[in-house]
Amino acid sequence: MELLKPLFERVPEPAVPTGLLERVLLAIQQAQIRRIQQRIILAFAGIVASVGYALYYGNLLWNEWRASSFINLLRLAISDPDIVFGSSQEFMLGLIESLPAATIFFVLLAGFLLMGVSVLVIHLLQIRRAALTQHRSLAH
Amino acid sequence: MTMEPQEDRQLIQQFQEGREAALTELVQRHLPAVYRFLFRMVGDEALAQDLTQETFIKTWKYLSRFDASRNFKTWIFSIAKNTAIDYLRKKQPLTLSQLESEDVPLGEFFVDDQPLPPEVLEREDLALAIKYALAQLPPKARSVVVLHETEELTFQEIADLTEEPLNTVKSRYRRALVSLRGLLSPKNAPK
Repeated sequence: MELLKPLFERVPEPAVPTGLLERVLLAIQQAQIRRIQQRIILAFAGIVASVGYALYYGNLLWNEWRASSFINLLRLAISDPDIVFGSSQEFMLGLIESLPAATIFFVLLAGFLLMGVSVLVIHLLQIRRAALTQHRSLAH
Repeated sequence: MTMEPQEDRQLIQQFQEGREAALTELVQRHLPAVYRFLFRMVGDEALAQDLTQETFIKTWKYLSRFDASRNFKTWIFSIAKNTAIDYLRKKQPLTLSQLESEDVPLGEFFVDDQPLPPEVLEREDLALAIKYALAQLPPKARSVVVLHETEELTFQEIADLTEEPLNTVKSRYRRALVSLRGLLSPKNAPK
């Protein structure tokens, strides 16, 4: 079914307007920059959330630490090391058991989250800078 | 189906690996065909430029998830076609009867394989007449004609990009052919 071929062959192809390629590339870059900016905003929100999270669990950890027997056990180790060395296995076990493990886990999690999001923000800012530089050179 | 040019695949892979310059090369390579197609779909230079821009922004958005085993050319034309049809529907919403008549397949017995009469091909205002006649076709039929006749896509490729059965595409083409034959006869010349 090539019946319309002779028809379209007689009509000149529409020429691509000058500057269309640059216009399209510029529009794509603008969209890229917008997307990066949206991600930066989201990442900053992530930083704020993880700081709040870290502060909450840090405070909780501090309170639990003070309420636990960990500090008393440490004091005992300093004031009476002979007893501690005499039953070091039991002492170490007691020391570990006195730690607020769940809260420590959440504090570490918050710390890693904060670190991860911060690295992401730095990376996004670098990408944004590169995209803006490229965008300016294309716009000129 | 034609084979995907190796270079397109390589460029897509490079883009997916983070090399942004590969996108520039892809745009450069496919921009003329996409623009030509959109120009013939909407018949207006400024509008075709806007739709070309929109098509490539959509291409960029989804390229990172593009399955490299697919044909990039048909994929980009499907984006361009949908962009044009969305615009045409917003501009002039199609009625239900128009949509229905466009989707009803013609029977296989309906084959119009007569060449176009010479007086059509010899019209002085042929370019204008084609523009006018294409504008009268329903958008889906118009896209089939333009993709097949000017961008040389096979019916199978068009069926792949429109996600429609091959017979529906062929039927749409035949229907368009009948309409064009009538619209291009000298007695229907635009005033």
